[in-house]
Amino acid sequence: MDLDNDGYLDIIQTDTTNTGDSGALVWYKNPQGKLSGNWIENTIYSWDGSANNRIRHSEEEVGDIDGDGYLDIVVRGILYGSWVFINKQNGTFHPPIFLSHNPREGLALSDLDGDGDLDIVLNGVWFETPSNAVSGNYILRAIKGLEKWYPAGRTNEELRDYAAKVRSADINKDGKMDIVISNSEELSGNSPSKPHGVHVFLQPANLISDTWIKVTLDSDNYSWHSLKVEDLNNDGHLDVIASISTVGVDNAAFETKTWQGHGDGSFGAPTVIGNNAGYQGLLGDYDGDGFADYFLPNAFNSGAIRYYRNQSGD
Amino acid sequence: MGNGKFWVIVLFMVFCFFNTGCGDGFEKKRTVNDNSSLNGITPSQEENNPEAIELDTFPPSSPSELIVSNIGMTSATLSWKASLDIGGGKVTRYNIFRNGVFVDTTPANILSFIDVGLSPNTNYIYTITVVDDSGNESAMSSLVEIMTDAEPMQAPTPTPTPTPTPTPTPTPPSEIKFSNVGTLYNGNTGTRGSAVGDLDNDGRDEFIGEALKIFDWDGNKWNVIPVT
Repeated sequence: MDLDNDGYLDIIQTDTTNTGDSGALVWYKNPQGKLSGNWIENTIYSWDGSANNRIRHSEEEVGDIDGDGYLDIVVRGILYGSWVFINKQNGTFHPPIFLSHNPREGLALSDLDGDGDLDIVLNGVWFETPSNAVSGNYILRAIKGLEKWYPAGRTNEELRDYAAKVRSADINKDGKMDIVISNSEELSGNSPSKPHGVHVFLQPANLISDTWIKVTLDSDNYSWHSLKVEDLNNDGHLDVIASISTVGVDNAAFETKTWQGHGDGSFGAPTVIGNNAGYQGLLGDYDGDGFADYFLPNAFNSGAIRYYRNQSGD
Repeated sequence: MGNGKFWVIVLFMVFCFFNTGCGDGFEKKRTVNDNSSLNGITPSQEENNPEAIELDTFPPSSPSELIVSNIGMTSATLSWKASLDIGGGKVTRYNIFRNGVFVDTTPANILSFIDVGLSPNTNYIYTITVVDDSGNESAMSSLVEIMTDAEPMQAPTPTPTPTPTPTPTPTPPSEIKFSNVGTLYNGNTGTRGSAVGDLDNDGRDEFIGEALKIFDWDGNKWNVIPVT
């Protein structure tokens, strides 16, 4: 995340907790590639925990929301809503825009409507980014076919069962961004009526009025708390990798699965690549062989961080 | 008998020879002696023909059940059911018409006709009539419309292709394979991996843990560098 466009990736950290409503969003300026150099800390924003300025247990996404060539940031709190930080093109940020919406998890940035800016994708709904990302109105829109991840009138506790991991990419190469979503937690008992599994939703002809086309990768499990979309074998088609976490009452075997994409919206049968619990896995090519490897924390704030080397190119 | 009486008798015979009204064998009926009589002989002449037969003035019924089969690009076969001459005569021929224009004729005992010289992909309307031995021609049969077959599409002339440049055989897509190599670290040190990225632009990504430590693979081992 090169926030100041100096050619070096910077580090962004959301310092939030699972129990309190205060926190901070900071970034560390890369000392021009010298890993042991002086990383200058810059606070982008602080939440004091008051009613109108609070955050809890966050997740964040970085992308060029307004299309100006500089990276912006969105932070979603698990309870209160999301905050949008637009880069002033120098590593400092405009005052954040607060987006009120239902709680829980699931966040991605994607140009769903194809207008050149990145929209904000949540668990079953999305915010359309306005042409002026600083002063304009972000419009909350439904995703027909994903309503279960964003039910109206549910309590916060119930909504824990509607937490999700969300990614967005053009899965079937039709020029329109699609959505991949997994149920990430399930705490109050399994029920077939609750959303579960891992699914791809292909964008229909009409983004607003048409029902998205569902492609089910997994329909059995409830705790896919790690979800990534990437071309894992460099065949030009996007694949999916997901891991089951210890969160929830799934009682499923802890495992990581991959689904090989065919580039047309269809996928092959899953392959189990590991049998460890996983929470918020990350992809990156640590050995420089051109294939994305997989870093997998065991659980929230505890356990081991394992890494899986991608051998698809061997 | 004197000479005057003789000449009266001769004149009477001559008169009767040229006048059919003088004998019982010449009835006032309209008769013809053959088909050609309709085309060149006036009724008065006909009445003077001593070899005339009784005249048939009723046309045959129209040919029925005309069908067209074996329709090709340039030909079609017509067939129909035999007609009867309701006037008591005989059917002698059938006349074939294409688009209202006479094409040909068939004898009475031939109930089919192959029309050739047609154009592909073209509409034609056929009808036929029947003619009896008195020359009476029936009304037109019912119409049958056909369309001849279209010519087959001509394959485009193949364009000579240049000698193909050899291209490497594409490698089939590999299966996705991972191996669980090991553990970066253990313990309650902040296991929410915050990011992965190539911080030092060396072509390899580093892992940044929540406790703000950089894990950098040097090809043999992980080096851990705290962010300070």
